[in-house]
Amino acid sequence: MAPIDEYVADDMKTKFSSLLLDGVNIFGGKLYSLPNSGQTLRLVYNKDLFDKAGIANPPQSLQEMVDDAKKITAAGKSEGAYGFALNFKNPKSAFDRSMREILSLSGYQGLGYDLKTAQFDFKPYSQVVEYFKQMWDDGSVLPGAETLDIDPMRAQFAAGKIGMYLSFATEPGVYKDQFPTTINWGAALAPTLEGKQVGTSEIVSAGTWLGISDKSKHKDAAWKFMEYMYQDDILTAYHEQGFGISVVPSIAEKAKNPDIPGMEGFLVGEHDSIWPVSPSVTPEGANYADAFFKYMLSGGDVSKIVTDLNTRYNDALAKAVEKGDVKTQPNPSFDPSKLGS
Amino acid sequence: MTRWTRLRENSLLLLPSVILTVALGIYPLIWVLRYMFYDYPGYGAETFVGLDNFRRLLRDAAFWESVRNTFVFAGGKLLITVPLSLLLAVILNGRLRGRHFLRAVFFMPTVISTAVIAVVFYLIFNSYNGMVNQLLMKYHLIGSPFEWLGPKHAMLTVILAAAWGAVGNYMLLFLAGLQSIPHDLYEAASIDGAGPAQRFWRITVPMLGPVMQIIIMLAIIASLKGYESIMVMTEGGPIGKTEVMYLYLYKLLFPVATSGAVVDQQFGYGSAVGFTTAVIVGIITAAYYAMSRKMNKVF
Amino acid sequence: MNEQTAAMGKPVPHKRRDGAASGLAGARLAAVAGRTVLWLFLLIVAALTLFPILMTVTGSLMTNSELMGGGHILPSDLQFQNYAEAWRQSNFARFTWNSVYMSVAATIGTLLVAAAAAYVVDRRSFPGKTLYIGLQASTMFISVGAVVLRPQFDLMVKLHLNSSLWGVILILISAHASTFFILLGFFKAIPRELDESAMLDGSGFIRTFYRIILPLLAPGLGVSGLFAFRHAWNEYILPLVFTLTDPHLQTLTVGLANLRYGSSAAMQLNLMMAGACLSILPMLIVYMLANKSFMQVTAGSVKG
Repeated sequence: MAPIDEYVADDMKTKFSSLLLDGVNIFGGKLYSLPNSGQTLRLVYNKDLFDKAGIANPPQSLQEMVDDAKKITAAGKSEGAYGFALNFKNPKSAFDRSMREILSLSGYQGLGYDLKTAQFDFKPYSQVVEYFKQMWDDGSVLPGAETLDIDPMRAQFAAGKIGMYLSFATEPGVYKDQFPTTINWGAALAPTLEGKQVGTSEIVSAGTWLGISDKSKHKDAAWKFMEYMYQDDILTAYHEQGFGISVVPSIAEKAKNPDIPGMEGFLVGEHDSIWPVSPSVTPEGANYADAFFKYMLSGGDVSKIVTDLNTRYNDALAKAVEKGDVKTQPNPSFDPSKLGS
Repeated sequence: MTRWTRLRENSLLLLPSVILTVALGIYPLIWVLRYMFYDYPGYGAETFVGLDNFRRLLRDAAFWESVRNTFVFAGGKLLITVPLSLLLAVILNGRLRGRHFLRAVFFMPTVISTAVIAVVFYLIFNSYNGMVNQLLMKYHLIGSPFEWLGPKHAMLTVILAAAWGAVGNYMLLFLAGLQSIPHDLYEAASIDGAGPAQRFWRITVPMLGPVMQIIIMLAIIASLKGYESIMVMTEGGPIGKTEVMYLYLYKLLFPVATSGAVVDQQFGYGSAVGFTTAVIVGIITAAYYAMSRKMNKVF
Repeated sequence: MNEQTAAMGKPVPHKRRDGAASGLAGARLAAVAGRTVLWLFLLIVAALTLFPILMTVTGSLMTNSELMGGGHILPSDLQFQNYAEAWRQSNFARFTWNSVYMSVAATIGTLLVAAAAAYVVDRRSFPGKTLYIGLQASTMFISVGAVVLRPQFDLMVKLHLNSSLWGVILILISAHASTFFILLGFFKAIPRELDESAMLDGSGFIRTFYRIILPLLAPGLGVSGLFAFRHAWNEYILPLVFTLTDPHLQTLTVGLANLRYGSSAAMQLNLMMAGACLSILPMLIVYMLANKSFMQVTAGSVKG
């Protein structure tokens, strides 16, 4: 791809300023693309089941989530409804759509990486897992959740068997076309460790949309096209017609809600932002999701698990850096609460 | 016929078999024997790493867990399959009305693909909408859904599925063995006053010895190698509870169905694992063969 | 006493003359009780054997809400359209065609290759015969697992066969060791003098084969052909890995297992059941028509 720094005018730059991040659309100091849409992550909940259990609002802290799940299960068990579920058949997929927003909103990077030290540290991750484990031990999780794939889980939610789960902004589309449902459901910001929002809920798959090929012989013409597509009108229409949630603040503020019921809960707000990129490495042995899911089901010494994960992930990270596959840079002044401003 | 014509004919007839066997049977084994000393991600560079893959194997708790699971699975499957199929064969060997029909019934599961059996068992043993749970709850045999495929019971369920598909096959092998025992032996024995139990233990079992030895060996090998049905039913089970050796190996290299991509294909390590599993199976087979030698003696 | 004897072996002429009336009656009671237990046992095992298949068939004929809604044993109305739905919706036509194509080709190929080799091994002598037999036997027992799929796949790519099912077919044919041994057994039963004398009389090789050997080999071919067909039809892992990038080449087993991950499995259990039945049906029909042969060969392989 070709850098576009020389093309982007200043006013365009301000429109996207909060979304231009190293490793996302800036590489080696040069800008290569501009953001358009992204996926936000939310707590998806069944309002009917909440009413039945006498809960007024979705949980704001993890402890509330555990308590709510217990109440919903008690109220709904006789009809096969339980408080919580996730697609635990694939633990990584389940955790990457739930832990991520909980952690990022609580001020920690959503995949176990510590941006300040440029090393992996799964301690905060394990703290959230404890709450998940509590729900499992309480019996608040749908029986058989460990064999649920994402679509069967959605089918159960659509059938009113699940009180809440966490996922991407793909869900409203699913309940419109694939699994039409009659339940009342909504989306809310994920609960946090302390009940307070210390960081921002991560927006994923965002930061890039169109770019110019390095090999293009008509870079100027290509830019004209890009400029046209990135106009407010186009971006707004993209959002309103449900092609993707706009992450650009000026668009998100003014655009009307997309025509998909439930999407309003997923729109980018003041608590959402893109996070700096973290390296992706493959450790020897079980990945964090498998290790923590195993802990959820069969217990163990969680501090040992954390130490073991940290060792293996940081070993793999060191190897990747040595090979040149990955570059890391500690950022001691990283402050999650300053993201998105 | 000249010597050359004969040679040409022989070669022509034998060649396809030899070429196919060597190219697709022997060559892959040699490939594995080479790559187990390398680090090869499936594309790009291959680096010679000597015994590193084996050192890693020794550290790999998940692999040894899978070896343990394999023994549990094989043991459970054999414990159900062998006695049951022997018993059925003995019963259906005699003049029982409808025995041909019954034999056909018991043999039927073996014509169905193990993958399809696994899909069916998955559908009916599902915790949240499977037919078995629904029926059990309807007749109040259980209060809440029984987790057939949950961490505590998944191994049991996969053993049941495997045994279901295998009993008919071994029943038939035993039947063949039984039918080769001369009837006069039984006649003479019952004239001498031997009851059915005595006839069974004193005639049937010893005479069946050599055949039983082979059948059990085939059964042992098959149950150690089988992983297709487990893959489709539980993909290795919740938190690896039903992951057997050959499934662990498969997952190192290829995705399960098309629903997941393998993050990190490691053909070098995979070759080392494959080699080791083959050795383990070989050791067990040899040990069994040695221990069962006396079955060969027919008295 | 007679019935019990009958259950364990050939019926024996009743030679016992002991037993007062009460003793005989007691023995009779025991016999009847024993018989009942036996039959009970057989019926239970038969029920357990048929249970999953019956569940699948009845499930395939229900509506989805009946199926998911708990505990119905029999459908209230027979929903035959489920089969049409599953066929249409999930591309079953394609899967079935692929399975048929692959299985037929693999069966014919296996029979040809194995029969030719068995003939040479039985009738002719050549250097390395023991080595060859040992090689075939070893391929049946040594298994290093899924790793071999990679070098096999590489070979097929080099031969440009990976974009059709022929890669899979060749690999299936290469596993002809068991067919080879079965046919070897059948060849041993055809007297050599027959073809030798025919060839001495001036009949060419092809003609001899066609007129003399083939008719005698036919039952063996039929029976091992059935087994080869079953093996190819029910194969899962091989076509799975080879069709990862070519979904239009998927066979019935692969297609059905994949459905499990799609949304139809989640929402339409009854269609999944219908799909499973569609996969099982062809083999079941073949089985019902030919079951004696299946059982004969399994038995024969033990003796050999």
